[in-house]
Amino acid sequence: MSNESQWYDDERALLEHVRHGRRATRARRQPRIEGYADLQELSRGGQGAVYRATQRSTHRTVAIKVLHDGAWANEHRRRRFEREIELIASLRHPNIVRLYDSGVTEGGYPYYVMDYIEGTGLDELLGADAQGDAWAQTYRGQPLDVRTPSAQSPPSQPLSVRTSLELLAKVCEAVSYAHQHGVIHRDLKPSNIRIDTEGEPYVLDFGLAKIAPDALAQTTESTISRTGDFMGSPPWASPEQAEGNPHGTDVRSDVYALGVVLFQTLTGQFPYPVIGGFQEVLQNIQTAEPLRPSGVRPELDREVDSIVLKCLAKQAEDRYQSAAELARDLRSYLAGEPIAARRDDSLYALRKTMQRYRHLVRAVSVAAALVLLGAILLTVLWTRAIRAVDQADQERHDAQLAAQDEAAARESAQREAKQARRISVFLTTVLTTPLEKGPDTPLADLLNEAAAELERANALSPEVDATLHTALGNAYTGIAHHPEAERHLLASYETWQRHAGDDDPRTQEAVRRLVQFYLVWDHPLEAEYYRARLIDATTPEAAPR
Amino acid sequence: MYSRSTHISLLERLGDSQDASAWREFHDRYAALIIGFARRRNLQPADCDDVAQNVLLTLSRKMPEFQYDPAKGKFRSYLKTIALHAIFRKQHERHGEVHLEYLQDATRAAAEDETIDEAWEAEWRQYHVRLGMRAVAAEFNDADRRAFQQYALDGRDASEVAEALSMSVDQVYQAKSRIMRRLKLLIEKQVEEEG
Repeated sequence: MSNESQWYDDERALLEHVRHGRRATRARRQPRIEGYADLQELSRGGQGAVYRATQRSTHRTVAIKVLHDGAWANEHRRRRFEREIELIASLRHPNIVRLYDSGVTEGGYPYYVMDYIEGTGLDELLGADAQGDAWAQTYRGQPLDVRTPSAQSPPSQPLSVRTSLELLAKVCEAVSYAHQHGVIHRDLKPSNIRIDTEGEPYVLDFGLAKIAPDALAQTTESTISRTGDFMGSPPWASPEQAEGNPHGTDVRSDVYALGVVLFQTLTGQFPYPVIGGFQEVLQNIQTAEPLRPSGVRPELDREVDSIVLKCLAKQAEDRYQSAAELARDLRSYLAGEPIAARRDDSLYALRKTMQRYRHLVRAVSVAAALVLLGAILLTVLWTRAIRAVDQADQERHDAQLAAQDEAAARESAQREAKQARRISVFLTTVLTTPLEKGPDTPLADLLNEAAAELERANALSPEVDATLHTALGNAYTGIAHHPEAERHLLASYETWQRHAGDDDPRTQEAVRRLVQFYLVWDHPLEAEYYRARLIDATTPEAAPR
Repeated sequence: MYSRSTHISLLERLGDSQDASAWREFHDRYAALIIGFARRRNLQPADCDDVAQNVLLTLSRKMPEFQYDPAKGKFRSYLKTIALHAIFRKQHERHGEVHLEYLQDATRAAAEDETIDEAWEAEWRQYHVRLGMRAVAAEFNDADRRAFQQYALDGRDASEVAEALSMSVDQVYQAKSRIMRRLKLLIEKQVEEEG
């Protein structure tokens, strides 16, 4: 043992060991990635490290994020990572950092490559302490990404209200775009929003919260470091995330996080205390009443308070139901128009009224729910059907006229977009009417108005027309106005028949709907009549009882 | 002879199969050591990670029946043996059947490079320094650590460092000697505990 007791006694030798360790750590952390050179570490967090690098082929400056998970041997995990990355890479939005490459480093760590945005993180702009203690990090290993920034330190230079709101409106639009493409961010926070030198915001790390912890959980050492299935970063996590239920999170969790970021951007503070232990912070998120922004920054008015607090509602159903709604309200406010968040008051009144006439109202609201559900479902199904048909058309087209490919594809895409837009405009008109007319309008009146609207509308394509008739038919069925329902369902059927022919699947679907309807209405003769028109009469709905 | 040191109780906790934090701690302590050793044995980075993972898994499997007895041999050499096996296995896996050139290469490498024992020894020391520095990083304040880093490690002038950190030159010297003293003590204790 005489040998070992010596080596650390020599101060110079020991210092050399410490230096060597630092170099080795640094070298170990410098990943090698084929096709990229001059890697320079920019930042390091719980999920991974970000490097600036040069793409060899294009000499373009890029940012590369290398994730920590080392045990990447599992083929299933790797494929899943690639699938997610592919989805995120398909996002194209001026305010989303574009992703265009991914893979696994020579050391076996997954990485992805994105646009390098010259500028600063919103967190730095807000004055949060962005300078980590690099020296301590070298020796302490990887800290968990549990940052609890100080709530007391106000931003050195608060952004103007207008700038803040415009910035956040853009961020919301970007997030909304991602939502529409099936990507939920799950970890929105100032450090995931970069501001370029022109002041334009860019959202990054979409969906990473989903990929990284899942992947991490696969490696043995980190399974244990995770308490529950928490995703996201505590101070920005929504109550449902704080509860640790990953299945309870949806686009409205992103709306919540946007609310926290909005609060921070406007006031330089968090809406509730976020100092203290992990559990304490989670507890606050779930129960602490958020501050009013105007209480912190008096120049803010009640409307801004309403917008922010609507985002921060503990119950997801009390928040904006989408990032698009939030963006719209921010834009309305900026344009001096009335905002939707304030309609909360009348909704609240409506809810109160409903409680008073509970029994009467229940039937009507069930019907209202059915209208909504039916309309939305139909729109979705219809859009999907159209897309499938278009695709089939497209494929046929491909084979025959390779030269006109592109023009045809564009045309069909445009047609689809136009039809989707028409439907959406129409449904929006109909479905937002209750708010404008007041809570007392009976549902039947609204439907009658929608029907009248549909009669008047003459620029509709047969598809849109038929789909809307079906939606109305379903809605009338929902409130047991059978004669009206019949009229619309028949109209839908006739339109499809005329436009697409008897054998078309959409016509057949309309027939099936009619059969169902007549069975519900207890008109067996009619049901039988239409059942005979089904090509495949063995469908369960149509089968004789 | 040896008190139940953190090191030994960690091994025992690891043997306790489901003690998750023990596993994490164990990984924190030894993964870098094994990776460093494997790298010195000319394995690819990804393979080094694999080797570390395999070694730690092997250990956790064997721990339930592992009776710690310093008289029977040091944990250190036990770990080395397991690590070497994992490395050989990985090399074999990589090269499949051992080709003649590979054999020659390996022989030459073994002769020209440092010996296995030297490599292990170097990594082992590195491991102790790392562990010690981790404790130092937690124990000393920011100013002391920065002074130590800039003066003792980066070799900058003491007065320059003092000015940059708004300290006196004396404080810079003190920071260095206090950290060095503490580090030595920590390593001494670690080595002793290891048996």
